[in-house]
Amino acid sequence: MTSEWEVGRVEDLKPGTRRIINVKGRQVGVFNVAGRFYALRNICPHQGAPLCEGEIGSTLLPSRPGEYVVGREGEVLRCPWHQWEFDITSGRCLVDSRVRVKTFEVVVRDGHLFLIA
Amino acid sequence: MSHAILIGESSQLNISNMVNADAATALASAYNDWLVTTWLSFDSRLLGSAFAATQDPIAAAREIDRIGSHPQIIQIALGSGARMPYGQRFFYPIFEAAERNNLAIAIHPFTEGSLIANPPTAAGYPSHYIEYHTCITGSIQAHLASLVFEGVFERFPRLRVVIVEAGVAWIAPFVWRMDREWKSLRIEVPWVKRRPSEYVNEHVRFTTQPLDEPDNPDHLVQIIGMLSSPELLMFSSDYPHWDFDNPERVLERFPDDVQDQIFFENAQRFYQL
Repeated sequence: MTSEWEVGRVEDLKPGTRRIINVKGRQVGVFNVAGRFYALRNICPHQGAPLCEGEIGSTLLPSRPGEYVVGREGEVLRCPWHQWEFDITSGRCLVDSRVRVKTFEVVVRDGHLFLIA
Repeated sequence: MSHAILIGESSQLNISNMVNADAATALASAYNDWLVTTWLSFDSRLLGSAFAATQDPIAAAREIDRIGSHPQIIQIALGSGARMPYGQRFFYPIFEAAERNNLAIAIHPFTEGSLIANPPTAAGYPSHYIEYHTCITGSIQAHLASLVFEGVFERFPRLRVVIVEAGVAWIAPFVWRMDREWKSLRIEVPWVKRRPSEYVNEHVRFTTQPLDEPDNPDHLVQIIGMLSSPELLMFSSDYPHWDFDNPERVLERFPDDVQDQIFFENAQRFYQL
């Protein structure tokens, strides 16, 4: 059965930041990516690291040899253990979309954030 | 956990690549003392890997005799970055001292191409860390072939070698290759009286990290099954490096008895714990 879990006030989760909350005994990271909200389970599908504690930032987009193109600023979460990169907006690993971390829906109501889990 | 074996870090692995042999010898000694006072005396479950500067093997042997009597020192660590393959006679005072003190020799990838060491690959210097890091088994394989074919295990019949953190998927085919070469070319190295695989089985162990990650995880179980025995493997974490293996996850596909061997029994036997 799904229910709503209060995350906190919208104004307390600024763009580019995250908050890790407990939901039914499980840790979930809630992220503000440029004003949109996403939530990911705090377990890396690779070896079980606390994925949501990783660095939030950009990536180097696939490019021609010798070319470096920075992109997806703020949308990429880098696992603190083995540096695998995940798309915060989809939970999918950038290099292998079959590898994904569980995502949750986040809704905004009356200035507060709620996680659907 | 009954024991944890400390390996040391990149700066210690580089001691044997310093240009100044006397400075390297002194630094190895200082590190070994620091290891004992900072870590080994902190907890008796910690076991240590001492360093010895290979630039001066006679002085290295003296250092091994000095530090080797400490009950928690169980091996001498060497980096795979070297000026020549480790089976060559230049290094024999080190092996003799290791054998005399009942210490294993641990060879760890890293420091290839650093300071006075040879280039990191036989093809030359790669541009990127990812290339170097993919190729680290190359120098390890050269050292292993050298130890076997130079007859090091005939000269030092009680010598034990552990290849640390060089991965595992390559081991079975590499040992097959040594056996195959030996059948045709053994006349070049007549002191290698038995098949190379027998020397490996008796004298050499390999630590697991980094365990390869094939798309079908059962393939890893299969390729390890191609070793003569799972007894050849001992778990290593590589903690706290970025590419470490999580003990709770990486061997979960293996049967329980094989996990027990790799996590515990093999090291207990190899290090006589």
